[in-house]
Amino acid sequence: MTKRVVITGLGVLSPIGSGKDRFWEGICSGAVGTGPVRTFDTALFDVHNGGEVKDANALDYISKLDPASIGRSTHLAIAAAKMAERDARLGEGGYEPWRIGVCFGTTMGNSSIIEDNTDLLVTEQRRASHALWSNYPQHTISSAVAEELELEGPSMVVPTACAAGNYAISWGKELIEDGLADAVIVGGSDAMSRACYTTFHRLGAIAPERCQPFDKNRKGMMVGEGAAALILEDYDRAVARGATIYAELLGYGLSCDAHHATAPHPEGLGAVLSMSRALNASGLSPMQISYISAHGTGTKANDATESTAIRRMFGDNADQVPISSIKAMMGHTMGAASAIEAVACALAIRHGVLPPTMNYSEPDPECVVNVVPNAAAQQPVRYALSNSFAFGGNISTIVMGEAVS
Amino acid sequence: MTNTNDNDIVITGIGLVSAAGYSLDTLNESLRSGQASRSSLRKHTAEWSDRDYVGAVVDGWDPEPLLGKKGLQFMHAGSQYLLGASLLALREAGLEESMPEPDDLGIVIGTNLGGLKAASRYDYTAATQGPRYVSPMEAPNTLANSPASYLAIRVQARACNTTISSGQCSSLDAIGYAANLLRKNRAKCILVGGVEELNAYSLWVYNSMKVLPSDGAEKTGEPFDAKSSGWVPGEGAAVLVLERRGDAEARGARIWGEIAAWSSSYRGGFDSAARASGLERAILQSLASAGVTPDGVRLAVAGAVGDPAHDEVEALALRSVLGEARTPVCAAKGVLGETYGAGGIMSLAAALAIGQAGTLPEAVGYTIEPEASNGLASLRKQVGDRPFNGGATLLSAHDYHGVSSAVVLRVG
Repeated sequence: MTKRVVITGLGVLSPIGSGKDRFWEGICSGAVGTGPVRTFDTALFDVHNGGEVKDANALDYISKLDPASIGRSTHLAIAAAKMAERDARLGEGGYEPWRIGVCFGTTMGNSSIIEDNTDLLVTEQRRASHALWSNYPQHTISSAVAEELELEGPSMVVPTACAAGNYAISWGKELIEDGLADAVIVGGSDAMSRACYTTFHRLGAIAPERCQPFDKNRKGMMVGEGAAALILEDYDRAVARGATIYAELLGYGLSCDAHHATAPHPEGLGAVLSMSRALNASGLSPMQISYISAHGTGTKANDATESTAIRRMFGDNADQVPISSIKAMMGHTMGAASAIEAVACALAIRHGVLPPTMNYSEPDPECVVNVVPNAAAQQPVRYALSNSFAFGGNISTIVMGEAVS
Repeated sequence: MTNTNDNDIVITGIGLVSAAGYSLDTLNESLRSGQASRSSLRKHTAEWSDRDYVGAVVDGWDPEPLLGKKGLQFMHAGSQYLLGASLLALREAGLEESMPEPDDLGIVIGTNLGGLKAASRYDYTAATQGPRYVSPMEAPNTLANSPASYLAIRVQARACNTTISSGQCSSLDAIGYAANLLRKNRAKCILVGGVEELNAYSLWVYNSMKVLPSDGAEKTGEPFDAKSSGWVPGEGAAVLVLERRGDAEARGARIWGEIAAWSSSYRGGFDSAARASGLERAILQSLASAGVTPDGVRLAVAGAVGDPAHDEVEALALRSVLGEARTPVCAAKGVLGETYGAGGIMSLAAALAIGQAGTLPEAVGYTIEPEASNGLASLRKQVGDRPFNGGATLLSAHDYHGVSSAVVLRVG
């Protein structure tokens, strides 16, 4: 019998609030956390807004490692992981350290090191320190989390761009199902990155003022930053220790458009495949889904093709099932995005609240329209499906539901 | 004979673009002679050093005959290596003319520093000239998973496209990840690979990790050698075609070996014995999961690379698990260099090459000395060749940042 995997702890740092409670207040009140970028000077860019974490200092969570020799995406990941660990009271779980694994997703990794280095080259004609550069490789994110939390299970980073959070969550489920871990800290982390901002800017994808997913007049995505961590735990072990269970991770689907390096497949080929595989793995039909957390970046191409894919997958029900994108509130937090959205889904299930799509004014006939516009709504959420799409046509969908005993 | 099962995960093809050439035959020649391509890395390092670092480079490879010209100029070297090795693996597996359905074909790639060069250039240009001066065609190259993304488009793989980073364990972890997907029927066929390229930026990271040899070092890149002064950095790609045994047999594919188990653990810090305990756990778990006892291991391929502090960790773990059985050990990185994200599958390729030749050559062979006075001395260079007729093979890797991974492979 396959093991059931549940979510027992949540940690998040986001542009609309950090810590599970403040984040959820932000979701419920429809906070919009995007605004002028402060991390770097945007004078040379045509646009100036983004989503940054403003209410938490990730450095406060770092106790073993030297914060000056690790990058900002690692700082954020450590903070999120420690929040989630405390939320789950994982330390009281009686787990051997080697039975707890770590898996994080990221898009840019610790590109803050690249950017610090650029600034030093320009201003002082020198490079960033060896200590800092030695912690550039992607997986220093997961290794630092393991080191700080004294965990000895499998540890890796899945740098599958903007779908990375869901990829990491999926792998955590596999580790528990295969008996390689009792619990896994999964999530995603990406700090605000000038290199990333440059990439989306050059592709003409950044909205000038605000992010308006599924709106007829949407003007693009907005680069954001953040991190989220979720504690995945073997259901039986979680019940035995009396853990709070937010939701059950029921299944996931992976796919790839294999179509274009930066553009989605026009008919949502990979998205349909990923959603249908996630539903199959969860033993659910499309009709049973109570809420869809869309990738919904706010670009013309993404929102239209995602809508096409949802229509193909859900048929007539595509106009009934509530679909929202919290990226309107915080921008696209890259590798953290689907992890933060997973936190939102877990809390949506727990509290019976549908997260809103903010900044929405005019429906687009090319897009889904039942988007929980501009205000959260009270409604029971039994099963939530969450999409994440990325450059390279990388796609991953997860499905979670109420954990019924 | 081991019992086989339709759901065993088997290797039906392998492709290489490496310092030891492009096939198991050339790799075996290199393992036998102890020689592979070596070049000065001055063109990459001149900006920050006046020294002559030496690398195990992919020398004189022309990707065009294999990959065609279209789109090639937009791909960085690592992506070209990965596509090249993948097409060779598919050819070797007999799939070139009868590719799997896209929905059944997946990609899992271990790599670490893929996006560094392009992201560094992007950021520097944006900060000094302005963001509109970067090339949009370079945008995909800023990401760590760009080699895998190009590959998916090239071979039309839609079942999954995963990139895994765990440093020197990346491609062993990619094998574990891919085997899991196949067992769970999430794909029928997976290209699982490892790739890394040497450039000014990746070498700067290695330099900062202080794993490159010190100036005037007498010995470099010599596994398990206390006098070796650090890595010979390497590059290239190694790719396997993995399938379930039932599918492979049904299409009459040649089966090179079986992936019997994977395991991994984390233990960081500066204490070699503590780190070794992490590696030992990964090794023991993988052996237990494969149903292999330590004295059933016919060959171990270690990740030792010529950095004594690092190699000591592997020596301690191998001695502890395999000392009594005195299992022959191969350290292929002495020839192939440290190819980082590709290292694990390069080691696997070495095991297959040695299995094909029937001999563990003296140049890469090591003997365990269980009574040695210190960790590193527990592995000494083998005298003469030793026979290897296939069977349970342990692949191990330990990473600078603390991850340890192990794969149990059945060769033949």
